[in-house]
Amino acid sequence: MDFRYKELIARSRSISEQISTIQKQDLNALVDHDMRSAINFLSHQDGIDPERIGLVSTSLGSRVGLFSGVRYKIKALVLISLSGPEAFRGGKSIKQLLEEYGERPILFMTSEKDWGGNGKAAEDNKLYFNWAKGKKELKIWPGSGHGVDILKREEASKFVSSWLGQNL
Amino acid sequence: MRVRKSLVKTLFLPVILLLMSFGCATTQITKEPVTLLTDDQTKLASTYYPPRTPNAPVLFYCRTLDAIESTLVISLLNSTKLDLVSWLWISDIRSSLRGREAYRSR
Repeated sequence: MDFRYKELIARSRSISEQISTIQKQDLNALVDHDMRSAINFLSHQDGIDPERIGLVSTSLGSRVGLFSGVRYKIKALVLISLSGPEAFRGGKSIKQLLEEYGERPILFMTSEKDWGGNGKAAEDNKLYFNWAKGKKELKIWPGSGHGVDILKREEASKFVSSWLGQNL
Repeated sequence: MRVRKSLVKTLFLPVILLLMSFGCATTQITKEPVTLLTDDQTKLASTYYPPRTPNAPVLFYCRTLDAIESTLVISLLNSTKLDLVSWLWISDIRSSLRGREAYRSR
């Protein structure tokens, strides 16, 4: 854990403030540089089919994931606990991005009381599901898990692997 | 009857050991530490799981998964349908967030 990041979080007075602080960050650098170099790395490895790259992302990472799914050649996208303000800071809205993502397969996953995005992730994801254009699936798990915590459940990780097996 | 019991005892341990070694073999996953250098010269420490067969589908993760590595990776890589999976995740993608942008909102 990075100390500066920890410090940034520590200065927030509540979980909602922590989420709000994180969501205010500009994600462009992550998409423009980090994701680009990672996809580039993968695409040039022996035995890798660059036409079959899937992306699984959680929490704040699901915003990076959605942006990256639009910008790069991603065959299937899993967004876990995508939530929060509909518009990206200085960028496009989730609805616009889902339209640009087009017909490619997409899986939305959250929990009934996902604490991300002001506790409205389940409602938000129903909306995102309706906005998605192509082959889509929405899975809402019971409980209040968020992001990586949802994937800790064996049935959730199996669900993701099964879905990827059908769509990659 | 005694012979049969003795035979069972004699075979029991090797069979268990065989099952255990088979179990270990099916969950053994190769991984490599990789440092990605982005075009803005940021270094990203990553973990790469090479494909087990050619033309494998690639699964890519954009946030830290260290905490669930054992559960999810084994589940995904040993899944019948995803036997051919290889994947990579950026274990400290947040470093670029904090380095470039973390203080912008203050």
